[in-house]
Amino acid sequence: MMALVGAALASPVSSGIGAPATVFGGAVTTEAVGTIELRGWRTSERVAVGGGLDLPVTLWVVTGVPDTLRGAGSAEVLLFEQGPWRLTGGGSTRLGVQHDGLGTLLSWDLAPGVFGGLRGTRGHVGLAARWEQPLASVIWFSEDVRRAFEGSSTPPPRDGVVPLGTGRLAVGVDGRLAITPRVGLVAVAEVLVTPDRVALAWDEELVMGVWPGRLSVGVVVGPVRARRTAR
Amino acid sequence: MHRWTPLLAIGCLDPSSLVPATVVDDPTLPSADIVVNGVSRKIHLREFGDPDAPTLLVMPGAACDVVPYLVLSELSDAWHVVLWDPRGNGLSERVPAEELAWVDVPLEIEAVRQLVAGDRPVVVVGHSWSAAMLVTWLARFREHAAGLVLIEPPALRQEDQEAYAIPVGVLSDPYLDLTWSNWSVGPVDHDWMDFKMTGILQPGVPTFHCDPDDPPFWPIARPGALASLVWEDTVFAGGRFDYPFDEGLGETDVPVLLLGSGCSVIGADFQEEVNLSLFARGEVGRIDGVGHRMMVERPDAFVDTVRAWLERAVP
Repeated sequence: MMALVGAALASPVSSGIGAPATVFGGAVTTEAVGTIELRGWRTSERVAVGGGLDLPVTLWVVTGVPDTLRGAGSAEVLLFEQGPWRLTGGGSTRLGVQHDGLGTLLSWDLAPGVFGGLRGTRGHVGLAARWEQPLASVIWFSEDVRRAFEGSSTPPPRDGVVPLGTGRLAVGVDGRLAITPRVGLVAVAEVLVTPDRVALAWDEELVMGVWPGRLSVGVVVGPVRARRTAR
Repeated sequence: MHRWTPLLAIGCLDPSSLVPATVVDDPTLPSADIVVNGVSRKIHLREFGDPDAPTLLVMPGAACDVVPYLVLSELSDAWHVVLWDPRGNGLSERVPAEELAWVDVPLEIEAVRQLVAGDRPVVVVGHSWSAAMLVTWLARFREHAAGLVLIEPPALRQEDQEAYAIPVGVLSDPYLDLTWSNWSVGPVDHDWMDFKMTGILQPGVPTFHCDPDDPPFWPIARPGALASLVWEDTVFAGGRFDYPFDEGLGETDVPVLLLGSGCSVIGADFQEEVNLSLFARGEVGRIDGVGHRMMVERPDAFVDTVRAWLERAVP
């Protein structure tokens, strides 16, 4: 079957399998994500909480089928601020659903991370690092998956929970720009790395591994930048 | 119809249950041991007919297994029909990447041939990728070839491969779905890799089908993801084939049937235009009204066409 042929685009990080030697040394993937984020500040002005939606642009624009959706909740704590410099720590948790040829997946992850950068009058820009750890996924298998077991002595898989998937490290540039005091734009460009080498081969060669990273652009509704810490 | 299990009623999933077990884990499966480069591996092997009859050896395409080709067992009234899943594919043993080198594929074909036919030459059948693999085997072991049935191979000459690049829908729904789902379930081992590849099998290459939006069901028990990736890494560049499958072939008088469909972009017309001139005793067979998956679309016409050629061309 030639179904998979050609999925390997001309990849600048192409490598052999079994002896991976990519530029980034880990799994690669390419995602384009649109985001809608709602944020608010607690009265201490050191803590931000928010929630929003991740919209898989690559899927929605190309296929026109919004059968994939991911929601996120996040919290951020101001750890250090000196002049225009600031360091925050925090995390997010995401809940996503995906319906595809394998079935329906309901997934949940946790992503702690840090941000360090410059705060300006209209936003901030800096470096961000985040570890994305899948906590659990529930899979309801499709009929196509069950049909693969026809004639086999192995029973088809039962719908179930997959605990703790392969984690990924996301490192990149995070910028936010206020259009109005409560509406802004966010853009994040990240490199994705995972220590799993099988995943490397899979992502890089088969699918969309031309760029081992993720570009997210979106709209923020709520405080776009941190206020000065009360002194 | 999707069957939902209530959320509260489901338990932890055993990853080994995602795909059918291989011959290593299921001793009830028919299997054999072959040695390639000094390493013994267990392969899934299906045999039909009298072992003393001439052998028809069937090799599945990449990301595939023997299931779609079992229809060829109908030829077992006159032939010893043997189908096998290559190492790392189908229900055969999974092997590390270093055992999957493209250049070693002819050695595996030859090992299986020796296993099932001894010193006798065989007629081999390959589809798509495996058709190209069989040409590389022919170049090295032509004395063991009684004939080849090549079902819609890609352009075999490297110089033709740019002009006849096959457009593949890497921006199609299944590929993008597969990538996106890695945030939650990554392909961490063979079971997961093969399972996730299952999700992209059904659409295949749109231009291979009569109706790109409604391809025929492709009945694969278990693809071999790592094998496919390793092979692809060797013979693919810039989103297309870039490999001299005909290297060392020279002139050959082995009878060859290039079997093509009426719908696929690499169907009968393509085979006649691009590949036929490689074989002095080649001919093109054509099955209309079907695409690349002709063996499941019109199995009777497929078997009849192969049988007619075998009776006519192979002594």
